[in-house]
Amino acid sequence: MKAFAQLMESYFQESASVNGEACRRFEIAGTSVSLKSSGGWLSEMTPALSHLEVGSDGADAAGLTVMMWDGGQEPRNHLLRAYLFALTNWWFSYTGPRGELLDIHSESMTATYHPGTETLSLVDLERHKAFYWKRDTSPLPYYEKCSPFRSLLHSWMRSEGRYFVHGAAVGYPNGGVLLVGKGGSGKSTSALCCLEAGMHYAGDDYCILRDNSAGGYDAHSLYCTAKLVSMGDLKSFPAMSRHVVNEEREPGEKVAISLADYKTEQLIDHFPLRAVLVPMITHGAETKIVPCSARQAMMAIAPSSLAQLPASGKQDLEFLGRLARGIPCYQLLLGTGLEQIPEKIAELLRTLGVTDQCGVTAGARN
Amino acid sequence: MDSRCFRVNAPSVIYEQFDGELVAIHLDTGAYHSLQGAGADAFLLLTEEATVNELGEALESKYAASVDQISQGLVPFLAALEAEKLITTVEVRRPRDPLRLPVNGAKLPFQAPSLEAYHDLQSLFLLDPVHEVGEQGWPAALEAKPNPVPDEDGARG
Repeated sequence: MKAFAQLMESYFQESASVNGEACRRFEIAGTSVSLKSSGGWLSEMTPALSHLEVGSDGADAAGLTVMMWDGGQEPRNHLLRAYLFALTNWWFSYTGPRGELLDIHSESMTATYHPGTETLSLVDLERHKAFYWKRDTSPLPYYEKCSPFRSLLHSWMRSEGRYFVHGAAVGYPNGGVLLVGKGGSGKSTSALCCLEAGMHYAGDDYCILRDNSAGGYDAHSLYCTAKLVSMGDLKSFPAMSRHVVNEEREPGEKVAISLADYKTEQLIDHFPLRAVLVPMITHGAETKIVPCSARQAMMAIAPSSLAQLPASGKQDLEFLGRLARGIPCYQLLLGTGLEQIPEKIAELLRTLGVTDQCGVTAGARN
Repeated sequence: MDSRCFRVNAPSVIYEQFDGELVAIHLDTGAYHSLQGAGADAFLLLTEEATVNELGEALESKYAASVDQISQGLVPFLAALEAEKLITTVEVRRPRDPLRLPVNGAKLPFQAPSLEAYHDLQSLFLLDPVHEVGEQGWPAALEAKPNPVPDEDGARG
C-alpha cells in the first residue's frame, strides 16, 4: 500500500505545480508538524492551530509533513483517478464501520474516509508523510476548521507516544486538570469559566496527553477554538462574543469562537496533569468535587475519545486506562453558579500541591 | 445447558480492567459496557474461550456457590454478551490449560452477573463533542436526538 501513498504524493505535486504551494510549521505536543497546501486551504485550516505555529519554512525530516489539496484537478494516474472516483461515490463499499479504507488501512498506514466532509486522511507512518484530500473545492464545514486534521494527527501522535483525548484542560503552569465526559456534561463551560477567571487554558475539546519525565502525564494544547451551541449560551461569556468566527450560521450550526486573539497570555502549551474531573450538571446551588473510581473516569473519558477518532483502538484504551489508574479522579458536581467552578478547581489543585500562580478569583471576568 | 464455546470478539472488542471492574468497548457498533464482579471475571475468562460449564467451574473457586448455581446465573449474562456482539461462538477449539482464576482469601458471595450497556456513542459521532447544551444555554443539557441527522461532526452520510 506504499504505492497508494506515493500516488497521492505525486497527485499533490501535480496540484501544487498548477495552484502553487504554501507551507507553515507547527510545534504540536513537542513534535514538528509541517502543513503544506496546494491552493488556499492553509488559511482556512490553520487558525485553530495558530497558537502553535513556529514558522513558514519547509518540512522537518524528524516530524510529520501533511499535504492538503482538493480534487479540483484530477490526478493524471488513471488507477488513482478511478479509485478516488469510486471511493467518493460509493464510500460505503470501500470503508469499514468507522470509515477505515478496507484495502489500505493498516498499522503502518492509517487511511480513513469521512463522507460528511468528503475528505480522505492518509498517514504513512514509516515515511512521516500524511495526506488530507478533499473531494471538491467547496468550503469545509465549520467544525472541521475548528478541529482540523484530527484523524491524521491522532494516528501520528499515537505513533510518537502521544494520545488524543476528548476533554478540556485548564490549570497553572505547574499543574492542571483534565475535564472529561460526553457532550452536555459541562466540561467546556467549566473550562471557559476557568479561562475567564484567570486560569491557563490548554483546550476545551481535544487535548494531547503524554507521559512526562516525572512519571506522570502532561496535557498539551491542540486547538485554540471553542464552540457554543447557541447565542443563549454565549450570554454566559459576553466578552467572547467579539471573537465569534461564524457570525452567519446555517440552522443547527454551533457558535464557533476563536481564542487565538483572546486572552492569549493564558493559552498554555502544556502542563502536568494532576487530576481527572468528570463534570456532571446537578442543578443544585453549590459546586462540589468528590472522589470517583478509575472505572467511572474511564467510562467518561474513553468512549467519547475513541468514538470520534476512526483509527483509535486498543493502544489508546490502554493509555487511557493507565491514566485513569495513575492520577486522582473526581466528579465535578456542577451547581448553577458558574463562578464557583474555577474556585473549586483552584481549591482542589491547591490540595494537590499546585501553586495558584494566576490569582484566580471569583467573578474575575472580562 | 448450552454447550457452545464462546470467546471475546477481538479485535473489534477492546477492554480495560480496574480492580475487579471492567470497561469494554465494541469498536464496530459504538456500544460500550461496564461489567463488575463475577461478570468481569467471566469476561476475562472468555478471552481464553470457554463454555458456560467451564466458566462455572472456574468461578466456583472464587465465589461461594455451586457450579450449577453459577452456570445458571451465567446463562442470561452470556446471552446478553452475545446479543451485544461482545462474544462470538468458537467452532474449532484450540488446546489450552484448564481455566483458572487468581483467588485470594475467602470465597466471595455470588451474584448473577449483569451487563450494563450504553448505546449513546453513535450520537457522540453525530453531535458536537465540544459543548452540548440546550438552545436556552447553560446549564440545560441538550435532549438526545431520537433520529440523529447525519453529516455533522463525524457523521456518516
